[in-house]
Order: sequence, then C-alpha cells, then structure tokens
Amino acid sequence: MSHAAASRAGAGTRLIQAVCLGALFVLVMAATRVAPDIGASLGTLGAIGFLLLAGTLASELLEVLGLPHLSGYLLAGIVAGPHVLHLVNHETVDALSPVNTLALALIALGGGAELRVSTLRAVGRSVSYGLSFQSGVGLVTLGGVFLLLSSHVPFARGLPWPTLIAVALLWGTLAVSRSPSACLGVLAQTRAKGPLATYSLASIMASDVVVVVLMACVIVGVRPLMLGGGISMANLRVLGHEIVGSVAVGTSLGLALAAYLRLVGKNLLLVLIGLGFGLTEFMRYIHIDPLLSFLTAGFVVQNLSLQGDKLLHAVEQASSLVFIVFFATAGAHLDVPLLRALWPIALMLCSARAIVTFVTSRWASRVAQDPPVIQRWGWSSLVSQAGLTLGLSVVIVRTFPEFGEGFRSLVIATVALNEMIGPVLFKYALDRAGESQH
Amino acid sequence: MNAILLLLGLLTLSYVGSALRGERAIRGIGLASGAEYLCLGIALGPRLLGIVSETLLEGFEPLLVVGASWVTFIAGLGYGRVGERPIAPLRAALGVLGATLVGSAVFAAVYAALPLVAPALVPDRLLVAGGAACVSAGTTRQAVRWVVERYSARGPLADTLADHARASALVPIAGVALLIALRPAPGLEPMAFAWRVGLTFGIGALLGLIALALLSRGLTRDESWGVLVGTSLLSMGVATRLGLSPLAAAFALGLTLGTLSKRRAELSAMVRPTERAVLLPLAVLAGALLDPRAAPAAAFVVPLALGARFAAELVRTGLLVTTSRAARPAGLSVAYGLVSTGEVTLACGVSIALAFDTPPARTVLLVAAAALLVGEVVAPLALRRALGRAGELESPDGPSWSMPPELPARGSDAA
Repeated sequence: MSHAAASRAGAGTRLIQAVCLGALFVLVMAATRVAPDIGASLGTLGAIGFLLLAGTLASELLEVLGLPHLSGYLLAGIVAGPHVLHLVNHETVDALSPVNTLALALIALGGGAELRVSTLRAVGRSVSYGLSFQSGVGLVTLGGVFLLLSSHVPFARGLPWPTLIAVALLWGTLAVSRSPSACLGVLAQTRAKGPLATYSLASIMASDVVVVVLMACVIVGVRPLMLGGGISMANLRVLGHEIVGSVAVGTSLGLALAAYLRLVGKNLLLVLIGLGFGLTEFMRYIHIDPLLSFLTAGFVVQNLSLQGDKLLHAVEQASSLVFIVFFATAGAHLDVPLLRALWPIALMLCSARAIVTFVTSRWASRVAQDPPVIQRWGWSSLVSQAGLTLGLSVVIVRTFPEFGEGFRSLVIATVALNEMIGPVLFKYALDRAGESQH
Repeated sequence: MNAILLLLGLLTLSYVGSALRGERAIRGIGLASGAEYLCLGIALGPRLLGIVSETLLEGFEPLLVVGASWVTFIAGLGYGRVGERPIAPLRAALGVLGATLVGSAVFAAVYAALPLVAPALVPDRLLVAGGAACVSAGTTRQAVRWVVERYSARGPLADTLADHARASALVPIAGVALLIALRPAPGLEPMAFAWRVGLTFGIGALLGLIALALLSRGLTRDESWGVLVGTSLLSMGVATRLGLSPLAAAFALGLTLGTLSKRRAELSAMVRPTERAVLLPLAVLAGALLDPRAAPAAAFVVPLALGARFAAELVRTGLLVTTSRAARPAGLSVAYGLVSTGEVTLACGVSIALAFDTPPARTVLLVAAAALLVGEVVAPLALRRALGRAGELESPDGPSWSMPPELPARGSDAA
C-alpha cells in the first residue's frame, strides 16, 4: 500500500489484511496437504502468486511496528519457505531464480537513473571523501573482521588460507554495499528535503557504481587465490575488457533506450522485461558485467537525455511487483537451520559493519569539512542493505559455487538484520535533522 | 532455439499484441481470432520447421497455463457486460442456453459416432466428446466486435449478437471445469464429483473475495496490479496443484471481482490492454503444440465436430429468428456468424491438452484449432451479410476508418 494510503490505514484495514493473510496461508496449506507431490514448474505459478500476496500483506502488517516493507517480504518468504511451513519447496525456489536476474537489472537501471550529475556536483566533495574512506578502509577492515571470525563461520572452517582471504575480500566488498531501494523508500515516505537527504541519495547511488566495479575487480582478483597462481596481465586485461566493455555496452544501451523513450515511449514494461532477461544473458555470454552495463545505461538516460524521469517511472512500476517476489524468494532461500547456527556471527558482523560505517563516515565528513548535519547523521543512511547486496551475493554464488550457498545464507542473515535496523535509523536521523516534511 | 530466445520472441509478440489492441488497429490489422498467429506457431513448431522443439514447449507449459487462464480471468472480469452496458439477464440466459445447446449437440454427435469413426478413442469417449463440445460451444466476442467496428454496425441485432457472444463464454469454461474435475489429484479423489467442481470455482471465488477486500482499501495502481496478478497466479497454482481447472478458477476470480467490485471499470481498463498481449504468444505456443501424428483420429473427429456445430447453430439461429424481431431480416446467415471462435476456445483447447496430455486430448486441441480457422474464414463475412440484411451497417461497402466516438459504448465489446 502506498505511504499515503498506509498512513490512512486504520484498525479495520489491518484486521482485514490479517484475515486475508491467514486465509491465504490456510488455502495454500490445505492445497499442499491434499496434493503434496507436484512438479516444480507448475508449483512455481502458485508460489509467485502466494509470495506476492503474502509479502505485500506481511509488509503492511509489519508497518504497524515501524518496520520497513522489505522485512515483511523477507518474513513471508521465510515462513512459507522450505525450512518452516514448506509451502514453497526447494525446487520451486530454484525455479524462481530468473526473477533475480530481472530484479538485478531493474535495480541497476533504476540506480543509474537516480544518479544525477547536478546532484553529484552539489555534494561531490563530501561524496568522494565518503566513498573513498568507506570503500577503502571499510573493505579492508570488514574483510579483516571476517578473517578474525572465520573460525566460527561453518562454511569457512577448514578453507585453506588463500581461499579464506579471497572469501574475506568478497565479504568486505559486500559489506560496503548500501541499499538504494531502502534510501528511496524512506525519502519517499518522509518527503525529506535538505542537505542530509541530498547527500544520502547521492552517496548511496554513487556507491552503487563503486561497489559494482569493485566487485568485478575483486572477483577477477580473487580467482587466482582460489585456483592457485597469481594475478597475471591476462587477468588484468580481462578485467579491463569487462569494465570498459560494460561501460561501452551500457552507454549504447542507454542511448538506444533514450531514443526509444523519446520516439515510442510505450509498452515499457515489456521492453524492460525483455532487456532484463535477454540482454543479461547476452552480456554474460560476451563476458560483460550486466550490473555495470545497466547502471551505465540508466546514468546515460538520466544525464544525456530528457527521458530520465520516464525511465525512472517505468522502472518503479516494473519493480514494484518484481521486488516483492525477489525479496520473498530470498527469504524462502534462507537456510533457517544454518541461520540458527549463524545468528551470533551474523550479529557480530553486522555490529562491526555498523561501527566501521559510523567511524569512517564521521572521519570522512570531518576531512571534507561537511556541514554539521552531515557530520552528525551522514552515516545513518549507509547501514541499510537490501537488493543490491543480495544480488551481488547471487553473482558470488554463481561464480564460486563451492562455498557460495553458505556465503549467501550469511549474507541474507546480515541483510535481514541491516534492513530491519537501517531504515529505522535513517528515518530517525531525518526527523532529528528537521528534514522530514510530515 | 534456446529458452531465452523463445522468451524474447514471445515478448516481441506480446509487444505486437499490445500495439494491435488500439481501436484503429483492430479495425485495420490482423484477424479477429488471432488465427494467423496459430498458423505461425504451427510453422515454427516441432512438426514443421522445428524451431520450437518439444523440450522447449514442455519448459513453457507454465506460461501456457498462465496465458490461457489470464484470458479467462479477463473474460470473467467483463462477464455480463458489453463495454459499460450491462447485458439484460434474459438475453444473457439465452446466450448461455444457446451455447449449451450447441455444445450438447456436438457432444452427442461425437459421443455417438466415435465407436464408428475412431474405435481407438472409445475408452476416452467422454474426454473427446466433452472436449469437442467445450471447444465448439462458445462464440468469440472479438469477431462480432471486429465486424461491428470495421463496418460501423449499430442496431439491435449487433447488440444481440454481442450479448450472446459475451454470455456464451461461461459454457466452455464450465465444461472444461467438469472435464478436468473427472481426474483430480489423488488426494482429492475421495471427494464427490460435484464438490470437486464446486471447489474449482470456490478457489477462484475465495481469492476473488480476498482481492476484493484488499482492492477496496485505496490501493495505488501498482499495488492493485500486485493484488490482481498475485490472486490470479495463486488461483491458477492452487487449482493446478489439486488437479482442477485453472481456467475455471481464474474465471471465477474475475467474475467475483467483476460482479462485486466498485472498481470494476477501472480494473477492466487496467487489464484490457493485456488481453491481446497474452493472446498472441498463447496462439503461437498452441500452434506449436498441435500434433496431427499424435492424434490420427482427428481426421474423423474434426469434421464430425464442425458439422455438428454448424447444424446446431442453424437450429439455434432458427430459434433466434423466431423469437427476435431484430434477427428476422438477417435469416439463417446469422448461424454462420455465430461459428466464430477465439481466445476462450483456444484457452480451453490448450488447457485440456495440457491437463490430460494424451492423444485424445491432443485431438481436442486439433478440433479447437480447426474451429478457430474455419470460424475465421466463415464468420466475419457471414456476420457482415447478416448485419447488412438487418440494415445495421453504416458503411456496408468497405471498412470504416473513422469511428463515431459514441459507437464503442453501444455496439462494441471494449471490456
């Protein structure tokens, strides 16, 4: 439900939502009891519908507790998933993986389109200092924390040192990723205006680009650590090809999209779905990073044409449904028994990330001589993690299947915690800074 | 061809379908039933060019189920109305009775003649006869709409035919629900047949009520889409899981919303553009699914079913001409106009073929395809002649390219 509508929602609405959610669970549980054996393909239809509805309703009900919608989607997925009620089985969860591909493309395209040059210029100095400190110091420190705690992480136990260092670097890179969707959600809800809102938006969108490039570099860099040998010139050439190629493909795509939006501008949902599925596969085939390409495409449409708002609106429309299924599927994918074993370590990693984010942000703000409000609250928007982080973890699972699943479970556990705490913190900061408009 | 390429191809067809749905396009481009896309599917399918293989088709089965069920969901949402004009209950009842008469005639003819023309299918006599009846009972509203819009027809006969076509959609969908309930999931076998049929529609009705409750709480357009897509997919998924008809469940969902929701017009306007976008990929995949080698008896069953349908339509038209003053000048040419079939017939044929996946079920799909193609050849011309004789064509010599703005609300079936 929209924020405006949500604010009007009274006890009657919540009661109806709770009854509907209960009825959905009863219906699906009854169907699962009566016909427990079914091929994954046909179960997928019902699963998408169920996760879509249950996620939406759970998010509405959790809103009463001040929790963000994303927590509701995740919770619905966890409860319905193979480890709790088993309404959505493992095969179905795997069959839903194409949704991840589409969601990532939309996140990247939307993230790029949010990155306006004018905004970047206004807070360029603050953002560049912040990004350098958070990405550089944050990556190394949080990778180090992971190394220190690795003996308590089940999937990392017994890994040889070079592999462990590689995993720690991947973790560090993921740890410096932020959540554009959470930031935009809170800004839309509070209608905040002011230096903190501007800084947060620019910082998070720019960090999207940095993290995507950083991840591509780290993946190429750590491959030799896993497979043996060192980083050769060939590896660097591959990396260069991947980054430059991705930017080139993204620029071409952006120009084509801008032309389409200007000349035709219809059926954008179908176009985005086609791009999300078709181009992602094509880019993988030619060894181009789809995330970076879509990010560049969004940036080009926003800054080199007048079609940015149209693209943003279309991405918003397409992603409203895709994200619910994406996050709910991520919840269903959560290995609950593993999480039971992992929660202390997830909590420690989250705490370490929050502390490092706080310290590096304050430090960078002082060096950049930011206004006091940014020095004080600039870190608050950086705690959330969501779609981009989960998406990058999918990339890691695909690239390193030998430890990927365990790694992803830990990522989901930490994202779940960060996503519950982060938006609440950011909203609190906007309220305290006096930038919230409601 | 790999799955991604096929998916992109289907998305392209959806795009074309969306573009064709414009008011001008439907009067100028494409056939009323989308039969040309069925032919494209036959050409691309495993039996001719082999670009779409059997394995790919199996992988795309869920999409076929979704496409077919979405078509019936839209039919349910707009049921009982032509555009914004509600159909009079008596006329709706006559439309349903007429379609039931045609379906019963086809059922009786195929059931009785099957031991003579195709003894191998006798063990599945009920499926073949019932399936042929389902795919022969309906008249597509698109054909009526096509002629009405193309030749600017308006008048009582045009309205009557549009009403009958719209009302007839219930019969094939209910028939498919009955057929599929004959063979449910093992866990549902102890339940009585009538309860199983009731459960099929009950799933849709329950989810319709849930959707109704959620949609009445001031949702935005995106959130409304979430509710519509979520409930319809869930109705299809649950019905499929229980071995019941997803088409009937989706129809019941649409019907519940269309009947009870205050936002019916808004919801219809939202889903209307998706119909053609779904129909074209569905027609292509259905065409690829056609396999005459897997259904050798179709050579006998198809002419039998079509012949029975033509005969039954003549009887039905005879009754119509006797009882309706508006139909009298048109005479029996109305009968040939009523044989047009379209999206609902195709959805029913596909659903039966997928639910049973046996040679008799493939025979039913062939009957559906043949009915679609024959209807496309015969019906538009016959409808034009009938409306011309009734003096309801404003531009009888050729297509009208400039519609009076008030016409769709009266004669066309916009929703």
